[in-house]
Amino acid sequence: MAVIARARIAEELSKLLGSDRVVTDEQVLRESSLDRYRKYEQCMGVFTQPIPAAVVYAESAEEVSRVLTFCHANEINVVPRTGHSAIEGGLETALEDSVVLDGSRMDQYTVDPVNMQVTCGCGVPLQALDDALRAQGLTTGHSPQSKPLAQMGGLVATRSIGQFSTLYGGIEDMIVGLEAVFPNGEICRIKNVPRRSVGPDIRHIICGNEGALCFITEVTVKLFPWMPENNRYISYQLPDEEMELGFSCLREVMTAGYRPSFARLYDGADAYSHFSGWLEEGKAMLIWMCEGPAGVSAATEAGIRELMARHPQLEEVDPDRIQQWYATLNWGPEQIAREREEIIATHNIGITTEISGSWSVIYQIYASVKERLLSEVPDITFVGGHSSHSYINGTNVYFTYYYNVVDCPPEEEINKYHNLINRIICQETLRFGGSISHHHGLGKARAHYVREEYGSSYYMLKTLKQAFDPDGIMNMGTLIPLRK
Amino acid sequence: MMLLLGCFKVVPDLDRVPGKVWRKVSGTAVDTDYLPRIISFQDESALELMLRCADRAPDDLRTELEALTLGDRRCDPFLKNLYALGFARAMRIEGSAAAVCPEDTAAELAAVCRDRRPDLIVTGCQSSDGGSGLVPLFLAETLGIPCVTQVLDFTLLSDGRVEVRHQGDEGIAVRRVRTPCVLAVGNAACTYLRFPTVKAKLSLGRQPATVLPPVGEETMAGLRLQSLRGPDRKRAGVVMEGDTAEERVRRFLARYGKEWGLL
Repeated sequence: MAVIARARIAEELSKLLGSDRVVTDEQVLRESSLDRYRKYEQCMGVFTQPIPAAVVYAESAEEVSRVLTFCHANEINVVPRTGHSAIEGGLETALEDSVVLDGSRMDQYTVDPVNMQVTCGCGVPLQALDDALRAQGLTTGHSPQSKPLAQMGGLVATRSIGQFSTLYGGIEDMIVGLEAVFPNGEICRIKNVPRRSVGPDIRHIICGNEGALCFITEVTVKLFPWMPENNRYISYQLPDEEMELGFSCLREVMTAGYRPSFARLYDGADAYSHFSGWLEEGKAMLIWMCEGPAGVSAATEAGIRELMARHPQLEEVDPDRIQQWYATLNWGPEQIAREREEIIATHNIGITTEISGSWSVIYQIYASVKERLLSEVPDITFVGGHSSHSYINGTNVYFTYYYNVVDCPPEEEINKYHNLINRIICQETLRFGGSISHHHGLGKARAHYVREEYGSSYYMLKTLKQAFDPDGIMNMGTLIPLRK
Repeated sequence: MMLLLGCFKVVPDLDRVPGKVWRKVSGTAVDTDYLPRIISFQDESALELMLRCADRAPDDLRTELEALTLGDRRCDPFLKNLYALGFARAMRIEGSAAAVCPEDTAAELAAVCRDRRPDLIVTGCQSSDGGSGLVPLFLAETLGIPCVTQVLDFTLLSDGRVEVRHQGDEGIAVRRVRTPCVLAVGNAACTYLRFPTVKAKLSLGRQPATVLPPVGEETMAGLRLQSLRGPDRKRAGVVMEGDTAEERVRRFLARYGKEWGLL
């Protein structure tokens, strides 16, 4: 990779954009060589990935174009980045002398309340955007747990989803138009219209590309009225042994035609980690939130209650407890700092991996993954799971697991534990016909399973990569694994 | 054999309360019932330091660890975890962990200590909810044994004494203390309690906690809580409003810049 010397990369980039846009501080470069997939290495200050040659901050699509054109001409691997909250290795600089192209300074947005849409630079922080919109009675409807960290470009690049997805959909349902820059420097805009029938929906070449095809510079998403005064919470506890019933309850609500914004099922272990103030051990939890105009949320609540009343195994929980709990759910910089301190002190590390499956197989995936994790992973201290995004035809499961890193140097942790867990989750999900990634993206961690995930349609993904990035400079190793 | 007894309190995880909730309340009116429970952080340090102490005890010195708390059934999962970490006995005095009455708590703990006769009683200096800081002192007074506060670490010695590192006003002091004694652990850095594996939980952690009835013992002479009310805090803090950091700084400077000589 890179046909010019490492030192010259930063020099040339400084000439292109100015030296104030190019960072070569060693610690910044080390931190920019990975994301939270390797958080144990990060906490222990051990960096096993190639250290990038520079981090460069672009402030417009034209600047992105100039950087990509330069990198393309010099065969330099480029890792696009905005909020740096990725957790599947998508931001790892897998090749020597990579450039991390950071769009976090493209943070301007324009609200269009007539057409109910907002156009955002890729670096607009979702939290700041949604807080400002809510002050105007609007919302994006997008609220992932990473909301305090994530920025719009990264959210679109990973096909993110938010906690209210059952009503508002994933980011792919919210996108109106996009602007992206391709590795040859071509700037492409997809205009903002409500819908069109003019060939394939090319927005989906960009959405979810994880920086492996292009750099997203701008995104326009839909807006919705924000009416929190109408929110209603419904919750039940049930024995942990009744998880299959829990999935079935989610299915009943979804297939009956109701659209709560929030539909969750926590198993006993996961529920206890959230609700130990009042929940007994061994109890799973079902939670719904209903949003929208008063009549709609009231009707949704009544419908869900009617359906759930048929199950004597369910015991209703005070909705106030759920409303209070929900306010504590997101992860911001404080939680990450606390987690880092705990990991350094205890060498106990917690990670999540999410998958999806149809209603007919989701419980089997959940049960078989849990069984294998508990029996095959050494030093595991916690395994839990919850479903948090449901559809008419299926749902997701979010596995949460912790393990002690024992008799293992930091650079070997990833293979001894994390990759092993990933493998088990991917194998079991594929065995039952589910998808190995529901909303975190493939990154580099799960790219190893991309052929099994795609099956015969892998041809289409590979062709997209060859067509848009024929010389292989865009985030190599993400989506499609590197050839060793 | 030396018996080490760790006394701990289970409290709501107050770090989970969003900042905007703290700003809206006055006194002690924050609803914490919904919050997950944790071991009060100095008590957590105490339990971890006990494990570390046992790990490095001299070969000729056998140690046994026991744990004791006062509270309701919500404490039991923590006691099971301690079994899984190798504690030989995990006990709970039935009662309300939320009660803020250090002399009663000390009296209840003392009754168990008289029965178990530990060589070392280890606890946190103060809990992260009530926070009177009196329980270890009252406990030592009741039992008539020494108490060292602001402990950072300790090591058992072959002669039956314990070497204690503790924070004093002048710096960190090292003392050798005869046992039995009470060690009250302060802000000991990086002393999160270790995590038991699921396998250990499934084997050792299945033991039920020993539940003890409260003795309702007379507290120390002359000490009885008469009343308790939240402090009437009139804070001078002002939250600078503004959509961006720049706007907030601008407003801050407009308000205080000249007064504080910043402009």
